[in-house]
Amino acid sequence: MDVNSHRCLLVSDFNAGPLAGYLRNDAESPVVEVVEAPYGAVESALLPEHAAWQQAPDCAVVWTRPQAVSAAFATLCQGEQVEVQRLEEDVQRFAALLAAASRRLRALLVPLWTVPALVRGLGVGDLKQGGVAWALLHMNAQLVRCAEEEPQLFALEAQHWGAAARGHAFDPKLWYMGKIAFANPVFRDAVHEIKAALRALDGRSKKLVVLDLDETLWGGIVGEVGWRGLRLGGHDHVGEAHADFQRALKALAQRGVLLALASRNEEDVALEAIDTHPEMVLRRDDFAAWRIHWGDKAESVAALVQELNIGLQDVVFIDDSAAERARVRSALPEVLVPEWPADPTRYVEALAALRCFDTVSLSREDSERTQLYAVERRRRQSQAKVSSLQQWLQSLELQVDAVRLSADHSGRAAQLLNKTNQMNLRTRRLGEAELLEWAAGPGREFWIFRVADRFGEAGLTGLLGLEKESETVCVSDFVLSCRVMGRQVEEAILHFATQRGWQMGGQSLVAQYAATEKNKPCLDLFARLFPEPNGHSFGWDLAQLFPLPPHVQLQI
Amino acid sequence: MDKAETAARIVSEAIGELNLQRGADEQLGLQAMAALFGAGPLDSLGLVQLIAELENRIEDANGRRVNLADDEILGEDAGPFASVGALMAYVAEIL
Repeated sequence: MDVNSHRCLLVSDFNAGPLAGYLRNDAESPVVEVVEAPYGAVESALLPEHAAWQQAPDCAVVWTRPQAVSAAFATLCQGEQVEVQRLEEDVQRFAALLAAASRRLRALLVPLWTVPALVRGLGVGDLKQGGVAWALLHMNAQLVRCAEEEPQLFALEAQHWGAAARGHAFDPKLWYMGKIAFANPVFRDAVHEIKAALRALDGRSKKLVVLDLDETLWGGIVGEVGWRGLRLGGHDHVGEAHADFQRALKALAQRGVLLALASRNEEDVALEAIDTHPEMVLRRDDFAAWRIHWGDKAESVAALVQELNIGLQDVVFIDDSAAERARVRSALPEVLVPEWPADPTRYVEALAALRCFDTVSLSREDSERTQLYAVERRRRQSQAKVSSLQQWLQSLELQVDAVRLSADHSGRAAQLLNKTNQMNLRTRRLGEAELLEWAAGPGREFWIFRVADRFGEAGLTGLLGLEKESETVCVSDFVLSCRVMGRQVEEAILHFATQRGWQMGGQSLVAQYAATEKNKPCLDLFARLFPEPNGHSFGWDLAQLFPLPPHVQLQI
Repeated sequence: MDKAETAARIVSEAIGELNLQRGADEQLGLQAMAALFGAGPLDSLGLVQLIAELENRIEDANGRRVNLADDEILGEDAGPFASVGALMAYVAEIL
């Protein structure tokens, strides 16, 4: 399966045919091919012998009703008291099956249990011990703890699915006549959440939000009313909505999504407002870059993407003006340009509905990303001050640390492996556990690289996988974050690869390029550094080391 | 909007919703002559879903809950679910 498609096993104790249909037909990426296990036989469908597994699904959704999984919970729903231990035993048994199945997949998604629609429980006392809702919270918490221990097992919060269905989330007729446990709005929400989860797992969440200023980040036109006249915060519903929108964006920035500005304004006027307005939540340092001028916004977005060295497909453009949206959509079709509500009180809701910033886990680098780009801005400013590239590289005091992969940093390594598109030799996509398992195989080594210079730390930004086959050491992975590209970290890693290759007993190092739509920069690099390629295969005689750039301090 | 127009909208939307779940070669037609249940492509599970979609939309339109799964309506043959046109006429009648 390529990165844009998945084969998903659907296991449920109720008729989930509508979910399968929506999932197959949904136009959002990724494409999902559905393998439906016959409903009602959840436990057998999770065992590797079940026929459904012969179709080699790479992910699964296991959606159950709590009363079908736990006999103790079903008893509780009938009004009888049950021991908590019995509930726990039922969940433990089910969780063990899920955990085992998840190890055969890239991801197993489990919607958390919801209180059965026709069960009222104790009403006001239902969240006390003995209540149905209390028992369900307890069971869900146990399931979540199990998912925490299994890297490929993900619990999905399903409580709010179908919230817009206005009482139609459960339809007794569908249940009694078709054994369909939820109404269509619930399944439609489930499809959006499943797709968002798969995109996050594929490392295809959006990385940059390009924002307009006037009537988007604040109410009013700053060039006309001045920063004091803007509607932002304060006792004004429009101002409050804009401030909340900024808070929602700030929350995204704090987990690694970059923010940038594309605004038609005088730059000094706009920046003064950002720096000075007391109710601004986002300040200058919260933006990785900006283009504030009277030129074309599509050109601004393209320039920002180039400056930040990320792909157009990683960008969301938000602007209150339908004309600007149409312009960017037409000029840059890879950029996600959502329709945007005219009413600012709907902005936060519209941002949340995009579901395109999801992430599997948070790393230290994620939370510091905007800061890293601010450092990069200062670094570029210093580049402008020195006369030659080599002089500039010398001035960076670049340090590259190589560390053998371990469980301590396998999460971030897997994230980098799955997110990086451009400087990625083979674009292998592996989950954290798969990566650790691969690296532990005979004749294999997997290394991570941390990069720092006098401006600050770029963090874990490089990966190298090596596998010895006879006298040849093959480069299984060569990955470098775009944040450190162009500083000859690439050459330092190749130097290290030849060093390790020799120590592994190899006579030659071979890097076989696997083309994707995005990784031509990697081909260009290898073509430049390896003088005699054999097609897309690049070899190096390990009798000598690949030269280490003189300005790089390499530490192991 | 008169009852016939409302019924046409309700039936079209309900069929459209079902089509979102169906394969390209299983799409239900929207023309009055298009067959649904019985001689048409709708199986019994599809019929259940169509009934649920229609009941919800009728309730949204006039605030009244109706039961379209009544034995008399389903009857021996496909009844009002035989074709799109028959269904639109029936929904207009009960609106």
